[in-house]
Amino acid sequence: MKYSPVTRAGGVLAKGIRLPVAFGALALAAYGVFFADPYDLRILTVCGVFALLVIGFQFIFGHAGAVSLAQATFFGLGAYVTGVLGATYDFGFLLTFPLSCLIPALLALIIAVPVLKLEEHYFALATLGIGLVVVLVAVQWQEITGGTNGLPGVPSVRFFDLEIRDRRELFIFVWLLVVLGAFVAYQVTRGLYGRVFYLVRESHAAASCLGIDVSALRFGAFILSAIYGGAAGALMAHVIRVVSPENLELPVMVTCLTMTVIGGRRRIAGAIVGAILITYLRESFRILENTTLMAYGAVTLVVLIAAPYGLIGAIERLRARFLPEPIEAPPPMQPLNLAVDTEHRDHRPLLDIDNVSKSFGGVRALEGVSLKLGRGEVVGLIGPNGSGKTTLVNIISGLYEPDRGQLSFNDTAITRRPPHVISRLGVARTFQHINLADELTALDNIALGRTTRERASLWRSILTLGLDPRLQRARCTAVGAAELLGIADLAMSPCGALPYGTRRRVEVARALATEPELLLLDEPAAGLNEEEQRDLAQRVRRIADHGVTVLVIEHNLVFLRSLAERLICLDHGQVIASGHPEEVQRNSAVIEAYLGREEAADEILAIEERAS
Amino acid sequence: MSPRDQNKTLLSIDHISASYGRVVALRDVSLTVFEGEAVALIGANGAGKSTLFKTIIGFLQPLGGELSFRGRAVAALPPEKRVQLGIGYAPEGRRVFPGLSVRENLEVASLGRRAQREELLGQVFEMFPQLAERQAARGWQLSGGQQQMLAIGRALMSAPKLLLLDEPSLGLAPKLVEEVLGRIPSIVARGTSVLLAEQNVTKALRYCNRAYVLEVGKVVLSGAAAELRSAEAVRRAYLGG
Amino acid sequence: MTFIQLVLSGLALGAAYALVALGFVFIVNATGAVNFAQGDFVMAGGYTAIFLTSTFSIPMVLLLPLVAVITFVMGVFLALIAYFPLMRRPPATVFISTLLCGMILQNLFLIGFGPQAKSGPALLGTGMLRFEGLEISRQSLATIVVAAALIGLQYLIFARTQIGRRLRATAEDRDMAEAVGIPAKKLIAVTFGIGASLAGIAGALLANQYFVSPTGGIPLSVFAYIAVVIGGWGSLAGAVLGSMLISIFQVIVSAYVSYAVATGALYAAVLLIFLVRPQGIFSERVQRRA
Repeated sequence: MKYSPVTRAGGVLAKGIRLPVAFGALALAAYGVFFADPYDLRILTVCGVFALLVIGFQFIFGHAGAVSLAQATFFGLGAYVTGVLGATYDFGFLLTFPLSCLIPALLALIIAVPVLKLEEHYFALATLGIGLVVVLVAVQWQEITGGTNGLPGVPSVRFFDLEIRDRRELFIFVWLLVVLGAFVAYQVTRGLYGRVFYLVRESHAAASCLGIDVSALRFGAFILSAIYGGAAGALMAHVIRVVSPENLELPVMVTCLTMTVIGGRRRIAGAIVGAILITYLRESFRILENTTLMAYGAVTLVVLIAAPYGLIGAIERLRARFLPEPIEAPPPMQPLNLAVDTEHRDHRPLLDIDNVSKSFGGVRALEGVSLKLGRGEVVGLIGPNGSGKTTLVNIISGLYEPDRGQLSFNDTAITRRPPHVISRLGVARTFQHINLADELTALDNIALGRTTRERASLWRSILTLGLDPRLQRARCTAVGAAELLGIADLAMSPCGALPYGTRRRVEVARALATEPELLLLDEPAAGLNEEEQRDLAQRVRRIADHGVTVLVIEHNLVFLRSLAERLICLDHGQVIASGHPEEVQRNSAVIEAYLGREEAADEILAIEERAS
Repeated sequence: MSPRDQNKTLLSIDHISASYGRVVALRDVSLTVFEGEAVALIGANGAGKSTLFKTIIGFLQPLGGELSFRGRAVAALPPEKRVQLGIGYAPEGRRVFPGLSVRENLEVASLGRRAQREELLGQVFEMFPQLAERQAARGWQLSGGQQQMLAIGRALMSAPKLLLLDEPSLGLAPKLVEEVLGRIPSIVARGTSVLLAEQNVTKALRYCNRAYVLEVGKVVLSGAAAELRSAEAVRRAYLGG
Repeated sequence: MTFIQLVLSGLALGAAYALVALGFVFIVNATGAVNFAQGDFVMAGGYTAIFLTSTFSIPMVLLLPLVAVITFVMGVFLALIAYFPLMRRPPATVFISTLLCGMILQNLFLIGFGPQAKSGPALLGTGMLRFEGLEISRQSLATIVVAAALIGLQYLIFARTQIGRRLRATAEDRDMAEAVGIPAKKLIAVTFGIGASLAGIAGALLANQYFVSPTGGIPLSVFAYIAVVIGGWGSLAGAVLGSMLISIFQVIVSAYVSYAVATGALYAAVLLIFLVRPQGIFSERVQRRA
């Protein structure tokens, strides 16, 4: 996979092509306002409607990464609300338009709760199902909706004393709304919060363990897509002056998907380009009559295959290949505040695990495990493969729920609480398999650890004008975290291009950026050479000296020896030894289970040799 | 290992370069593996060991150089053809087929008819009795060590002349590493040469006849295992720049 | 009609749908991709049957095998256009590409056969069989028998033969399958062929009693999707069971209330299942060991 550094996240275009795109936009606008004939104006207006639809769709499909098939449903609903209220009850625009946005949002709200928790293909089907039910209702509820024939006579846009009468005015009006919609999309996707989407797409678990409420994020994206869909539908009703079940049906969804895929699923400019291109394509293929759909399908397929990031994405990548952007300098460093409050430190344990058991199907992963971590301790968790170490860490961080037993952190019960809540209490972790957003720079990946501390959110992103201060601050603190891990000079490279050892350190830095009280490291030394291991152990030791409590899962006894004050050994899901490293390594049960009798002698000798 | 066997070249890698994404992972690498021997490929993580294996099996296309196996140029062949020629691959991370049983994992990798399949199955079970015990268990139910044994057994089911063994010790407790690597001599004795990629230098050199040391994509040292145990260059590659 | 009679009718429909869903789930298992043209392959089977019987005089016993072969080739073609070029992309992309190919197919049907719905040939002759006060059409009986035979055959092949094991291995880890000597790409193409072929056979079986039309495949694709979700994503038994459940449900509710309500209730039921047991009836999700 080729990594293209994304220095502008989300909907924002890469630097190099902004000027030409802006130029193109202005040219098109000028054409529409001054030169286009009524037929062209109509088409360009429809382009605008679809552009709005697709920008909305990008929130859930492109950014949140969930295949929603409900976009046409929101579109059709918005159209119907405007149609029914406008044609039958003669409501004005100021009433029909907000309602057209609100009612789809309400539907999204109702179905979001059960549906958003579903895995990808289930979610897609559920949204499809909702859509098909709504179509049925629209067709059956003939008194209100006009059944299969629909409702004619949708009024033009009217508010205050203004009435939009001709096509030119409508064109301008619709595109003004598109600009507004684009602006909001830009706000949402540009800053710290915008970068969160990248990690959510990569791994829900990793994002949750940074304190990010993934469900809330997807929920927000879904609601936004519904609002935009409804708005687009309302405008369509005003443009074609009739509403019918066609607006709700699968072909509209296919059109929306096609435009998104062709234009580019994350770039705002991509939504607009996709909308314009596909609309014009369909129009020009109309002359082919019978073979329209076939030609249109074939062309779309070709673009789909040739341009995986859509046309806009392809242009960006071409430019990056031939005129690459230089790597920027990192922002000024802001040191991490890791000093844990030592005043109130008493001798109560920081983490208290009481009799925790967990089974997967028939396999007993953990059985009656109890342990306590004192504040400021560095503890190593060892044990043979399959002994339950990672399961235990997954339970502590909230990714699994224990079948039995209790856990408490800082005297707060954390049993069965979701990972993002546990993270916010002060627990951070790394994973055995590194989960980083490869398209972002290492620095931005680390900065994601600051999401909770900076209280980045959807609303705040929209309401903050100009450059996102949260992102700036987060990046400065990220530099501080990078320094602690010795990777500050590599921080501005795209993560995907960095070697394994550095990526491992980026992950640790990201966890550290949350300024946790408890740091859980899952096999941090795996894949590192001896020099890298020594270096990492030293750095972790320094971090612990600040007062952070550390629990390290490792096989590598040499690594742990320089780091851990205490070792806990698991075997077949049970604690079989706990204590000073030397004691544990001489414990016969440990030797039997983990080291193998013969090996123990070698290992112990080697360690003692190196220590002397 | 008789002098006669020593002369037959199995794998010949000649000035191969390869890149992984945008990173050039192998630069001008040359090495040979003969019949009847176990060769170690040692080096730090990121040195290019896995990339080399992926190039040999066919997941990566080399940028230049020649790759031949048993006298045939294989760079243009897809992975399954190379396996049919006699290369077996036990990848990093084991990658057993999770939904298939132990027995099915082994059976699926055999290239011949039933009679030959049964015979090879017997041999693998003899080499790894633990697998025989857990024949019906699904791939995902096995522990890391058992999966490693299965991965090796599976690679042996095609009766290969060369076994590529990629980092078998990763993620395994020392006792298991011992068990797994300890099988290498018997594998070689049965007629399959072994190319072992390992970060664990001591263990690798203990079970192999010769070794190549890779450092950032280049071969920096090669020779008999006994010689290399004390060489300074090995220490450097092992400890990292 | 009595309740049992309805169930019987639903069984025949369900048997055909089971073939469609089975073909669908093969492709899902082999590639992780949702083939949204599956329903269009059903129509393709129906149209092929109509074309063959109206253009040539084919003995009935040869019709199904011929339809199977022709739709198999179509499936391989789909793999070549819509799957292989997009193999390394996120699965949603293949969803879209199959959707587009389905659209192209529909257009081809429109050009070749016109927009009107058509009826296909009866395989075992028309007429009803009666016993114990229940009646079933010969066609329905033929459908059940053929479907059962194919499902049984499929199970045997997958569970007991080397080629079946290889198909399963390819579905689980394509690259690793190649690394143990399996020609994975060829097997994937074969899987698409089998998936399309099963749908085509179902189409030929159903064409007589239910009409064939250019866009008639769309709801069938959705049905296959629903059946597989209800039965458990990736489960072959689940696909069969899910299809039976949906068909019987549909037939019964349609008879007592209306088709529209049946469809609406079906989707509502699906949503309910999502709330209660999202992994379906037979979840075959491979769990990762702790």
